[in-house]
Amino acid sequence: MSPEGRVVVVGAGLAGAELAVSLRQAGHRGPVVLVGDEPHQPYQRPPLSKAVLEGAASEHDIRVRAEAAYAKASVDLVLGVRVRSLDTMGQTVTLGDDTVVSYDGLALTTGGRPRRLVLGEGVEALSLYRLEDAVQLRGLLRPGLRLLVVGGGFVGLEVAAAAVSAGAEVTLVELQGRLLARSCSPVVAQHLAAVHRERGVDLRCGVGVVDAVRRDDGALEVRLDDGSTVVVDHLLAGIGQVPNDELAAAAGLAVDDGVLVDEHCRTSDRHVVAAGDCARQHHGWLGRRVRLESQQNTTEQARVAAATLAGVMPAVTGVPWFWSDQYEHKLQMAGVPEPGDEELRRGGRDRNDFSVLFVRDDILVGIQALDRPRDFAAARKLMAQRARIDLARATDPDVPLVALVRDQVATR
Amino acid sequence: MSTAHFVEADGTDHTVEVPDGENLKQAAIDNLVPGIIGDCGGFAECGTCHGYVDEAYLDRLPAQTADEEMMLEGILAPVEHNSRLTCQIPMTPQLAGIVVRLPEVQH
Repeated sequence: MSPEGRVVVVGAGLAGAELAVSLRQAGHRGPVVLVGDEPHQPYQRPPLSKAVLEGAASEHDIRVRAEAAYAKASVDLVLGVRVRSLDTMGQTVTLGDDTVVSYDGLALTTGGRPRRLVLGEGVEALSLYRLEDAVQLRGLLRPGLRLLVVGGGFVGLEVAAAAVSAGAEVTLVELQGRLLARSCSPVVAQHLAAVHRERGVDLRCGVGVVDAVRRDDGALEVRLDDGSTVVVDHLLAGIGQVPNDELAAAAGLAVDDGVLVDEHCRTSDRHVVAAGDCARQHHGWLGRRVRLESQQNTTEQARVAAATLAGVMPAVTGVPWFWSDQYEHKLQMAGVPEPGDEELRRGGRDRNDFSVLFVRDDILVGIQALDRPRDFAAARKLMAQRARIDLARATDPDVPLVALVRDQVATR
Repeated sequence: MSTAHFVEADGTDHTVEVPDGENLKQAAIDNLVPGIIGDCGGFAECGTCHGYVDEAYLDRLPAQTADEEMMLEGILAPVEHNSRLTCQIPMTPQLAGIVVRLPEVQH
């Protein structure tokens, strides 16, 4: 694509906003059009289940950039408009109002949507994905509110924490035998389960929901698969996200639970890149294909995709990382552990803060740090270096993990 | 509104007007200042909005939280006594004219 070509970015969440502005920083001079179906200025989603739900952050606080920044970067924001179809042969997109926009380069940053949970006759669980969802739920939270959360992943746990802190009575059910079964070490999951129970969350693992009926008094009677019934005012599902890859699939791009992209965020069409939650990437650092849902992955892929479109030096994504805030606790994670990775615990047995290190062939490939930002920061460096580490030193509470980073620098 | 100066590692100066109460990381992002990333969105989680604050302003800054202190410790760029995460510094009239020098790399 020539530096004067027109780029259309489909999806105005964090990925789209970051990609559009990064195009300028990568030297692209042609028109950039950023189209999004939400009416809001691009905003960040992680605070929705944290600060926004607690009432500590407003729409203004969670913006990606000020509105003036888009004007300054000459990014044409088209909000509240869906992209209906994509024609990769003619290099055009058709908007919801039938406007046809041609492109020289196209970026798909269409994100995802929460998996829906419908129980029985017209009882649909609330979800938490858009700003409106968080504002609605925040309005509902009050002392004594009875809330059933379905799903013991990060969204479910963060909502449970915010709701219990607001005085609500929270029951959380998780189909798997433990919390965070897909993403976390059992040690971390067990610790968080204890924290939630201490705060009063009625936590039930290995339990699913069967159906629900709305009673005359408005309450929901939800039947669980262990034979019990809970009566609640509201039901919220945090059971994962589905990538919005239909536009790409309909246009004939390669799709497999996400738009398939290489390490430079290129799709199967040479004029089209994809980034963020909608993309399944052959990840440079992990060396395999993954679809990640995280702030860091989104911003990094957006910059990589922008560099690719602008034709500057090929960029790749680095160590992926994630975080979750629950009550006053901070869980920071890096890497995507695989079955068979050795798990080492770092930190005092009686203390509440600890890290789990994931090791493969003596190389640090992951960390899950609970209230240990120092470990987390040092581990990311070690992971980026792909260095073999001294396991005895790595688990020695008297040796700061950052000392191992210095070991590497010294022996280089 | 107060003025802040962000100076890139190569010496390029960016002068921006910051509303009082706005944190310096967000001001830099809103004004397209390169050299500040802010991957975590401003929650002292990532250490990618690191800057060196001009001596004259150091004692007017809010104290470091434990989170910020620990994140700074893990940064690979040289950490100096005037290193701060800019997301943790809200603009105030007392900080008018503040100069923040940016490191060569974030992370």
